[in-house]
Amino acid sequence: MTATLERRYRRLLACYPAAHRGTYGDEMIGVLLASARPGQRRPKVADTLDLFSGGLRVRLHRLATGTPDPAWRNALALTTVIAPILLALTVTVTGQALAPLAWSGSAHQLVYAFALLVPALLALAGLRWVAVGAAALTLGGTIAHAAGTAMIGIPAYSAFIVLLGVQTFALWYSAGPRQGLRLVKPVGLLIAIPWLLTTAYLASLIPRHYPVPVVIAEVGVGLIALAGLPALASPCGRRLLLLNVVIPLSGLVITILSFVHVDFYELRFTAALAAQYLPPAALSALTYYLIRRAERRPPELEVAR
Amino acid sequence: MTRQAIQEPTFLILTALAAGPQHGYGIMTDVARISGDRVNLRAGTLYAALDRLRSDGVIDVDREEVVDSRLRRYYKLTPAGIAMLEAEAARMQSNARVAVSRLKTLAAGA
Repeated sequence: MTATLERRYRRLLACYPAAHRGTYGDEMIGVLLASARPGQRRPKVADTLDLFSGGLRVRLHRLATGTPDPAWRNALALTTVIAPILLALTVTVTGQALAPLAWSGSAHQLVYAFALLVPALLALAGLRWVAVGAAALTLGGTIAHAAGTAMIGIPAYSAFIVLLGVQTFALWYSAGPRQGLRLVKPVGLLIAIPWLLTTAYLASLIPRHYPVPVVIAEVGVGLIALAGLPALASPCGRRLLLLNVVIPLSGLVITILSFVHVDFYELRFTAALAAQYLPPAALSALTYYLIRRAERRPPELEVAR
Repeated sequence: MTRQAIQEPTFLILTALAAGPQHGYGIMTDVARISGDRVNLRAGTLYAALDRLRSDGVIDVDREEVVDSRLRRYYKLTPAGIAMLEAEAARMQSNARVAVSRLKTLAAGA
């Protein structure tokens, strides 16, 4: 049935950016159907692989030529505001010494939390490349520290490290925190500030036992409110969620896998970890899927007109 | 334009359009014919290339038609695209000429 085949090919077109799909989606379906065998019901494997690599190429080309859609541009600029606050609060709230030195104690923690704000402050001062350098240095230092103390396998670190990576990328690629601050909606502060205070209070009840991924999820979602009240319903807000919460948390999956692979003696411990962190990872995947589904719909409706 | 040698699929797409405006499927079948079925472009590769060539100003949309209630675009070479294909064809021709003449010398010497 052509209709079945068409629906399946359309689903594969999801790997292209929405703008590309809007422009070429219809034509591509036409070409795919024209080159299908009579009675073919499933996409050919070669076509499927070709669509994946084509989608990747289009995305990379857009990235390289600096033409992401406005939602990505805004989300990346806002990320240069959100990620540093998120990183600093994570260190402050969890009481975990994520510093490149084996620091402990609340004073050191606060110093390190402040140090995490430095790249963003440098960018605010207009020193963009110094800021990117500082962010990259923090990332490198944290990875080296984690690797050096065999802590790379601790789930807390993978989420934290991935978030540092996201921040470095956003500082390098976006218009920076000045533009980001311009996008902050005053009404969002009314949500974000009480939210953050509540999280800080809850965390203070069980100091040093509040898992980093949970803080990133909670604080991250609270900070996304900065983009406005219905932020999560907007394309920019959904991308903020992806950059600041979903992607960092998805780092956990890798950690869990490495645990399972590396040390069977720790299996019970691993099972405990999986129970604790697989739900956030599954939630991340679900969020990503829902974002994609929500955004795939409009161009299809246009096509169906 | 200061460009490096263009890749074969791109060269073949531009060559297909040198015959006149064509739609996506037309380009695909033409490329297969020109290359003697050696290069078979698929939709993903083809439209990633068309998008890139359009944004580089090498090709442009000639006209749009609706066939079976589906949009069909015809693409054409822009003057920049014609210049690019000419330059590339000349470069390949000159390389091929040197290769052929040296092979002749080699064969004569053997």
